[in-house]
Amino acid sequence: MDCKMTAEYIGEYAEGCLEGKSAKEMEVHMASCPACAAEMVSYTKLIDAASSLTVEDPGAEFWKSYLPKLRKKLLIQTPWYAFLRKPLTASISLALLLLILLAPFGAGRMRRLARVRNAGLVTEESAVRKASSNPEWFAAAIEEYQLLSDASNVAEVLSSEEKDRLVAEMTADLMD
Amino acid sequence: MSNDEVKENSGQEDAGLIGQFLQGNEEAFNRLVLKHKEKVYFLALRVLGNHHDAEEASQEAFIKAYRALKKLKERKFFFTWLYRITFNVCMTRKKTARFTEPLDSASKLRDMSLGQGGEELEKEELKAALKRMTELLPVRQRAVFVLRIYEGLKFEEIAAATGLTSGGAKANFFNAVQKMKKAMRGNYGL
Ligand SMILES: [Zn+2]
Repeated sequence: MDCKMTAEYIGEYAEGCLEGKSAKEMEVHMASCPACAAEMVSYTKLIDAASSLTVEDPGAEFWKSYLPKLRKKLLIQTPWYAFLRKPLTASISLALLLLILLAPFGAGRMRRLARVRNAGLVTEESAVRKASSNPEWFAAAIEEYQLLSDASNVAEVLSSEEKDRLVAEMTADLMD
Repeated sequence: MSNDEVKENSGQEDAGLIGQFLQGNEEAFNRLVLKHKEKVYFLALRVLGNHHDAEEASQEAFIKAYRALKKLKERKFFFTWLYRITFNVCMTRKKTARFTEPLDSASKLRDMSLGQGGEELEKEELKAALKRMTELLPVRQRAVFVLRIYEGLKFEEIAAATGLTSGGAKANFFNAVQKMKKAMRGNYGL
């Protein structure tokens, strides 16, 4: 290995990326070439100095408030129905709201929704898959997913039994 | 325990917490945040250069992770994935981010030079110059440099955390070092 090669691979060598044979060749060259040996020292010095650069810790108060702040943001940055997350009674409001919203819909659309549900359309992935393979289901699938998505958002603050009950109630209401 | 074993155990713990979170346990997500908040914040701080942007970016990264966790396939690589989200957030923010204290180290240096000299001062001067240099690096190179030097990631891990290839990560790192060396040649004992 010569000086040019050594200059090119000095970083790789220092970072331990060179394979045994090449590393050995480089060591042999550096042992007999003061210029390349000095380059190596200078590389190491630079990396060592960079490693010892510290940044300021924002302090105990900052870390204490980190999670609460994040939780607040998670709550704020949710859609308009986020208020439904807070009180437990939200399940009742949601069911009522859905009934009111869906009341004017025709029986045909309800049947379509029911058909989609019966087909086991319960996840985003399956909704997308089925919707794309069967365009006439598209509108129904979107509605269905919206409903379940709203329900699962509310469910974040509910226990799993409460969530199951809520979804069952909504489903029953819609199937009527 | 070796470094790899520590990583493996930590990854398994994360995978467990993610499983609990996806079954509806919000507290499990809180634990993920408490476990990783420092790493994410300091990565953002080193890349973006100021506290305000680092706080915003790190919280944004956790929010994105919260929403996308169900899509994460390899749960034990949560940490790398979180780094990747943080990296992307930082890249998006780089245009608005400003280094707020570029002169900080220089003024500290002036104060020190009154009482000290020789090797110690040279070392401090080198550090101050390096700090300025890293701030001038393109953000991608800076991020790769930070992940390598301060997080001690292997190049394959940096690749996973940045979306670069392993070769690309190496190239970015060595370009960064090369730039710094060039700028400082002949000074600070280099
Ligand atoms: Zn040589």
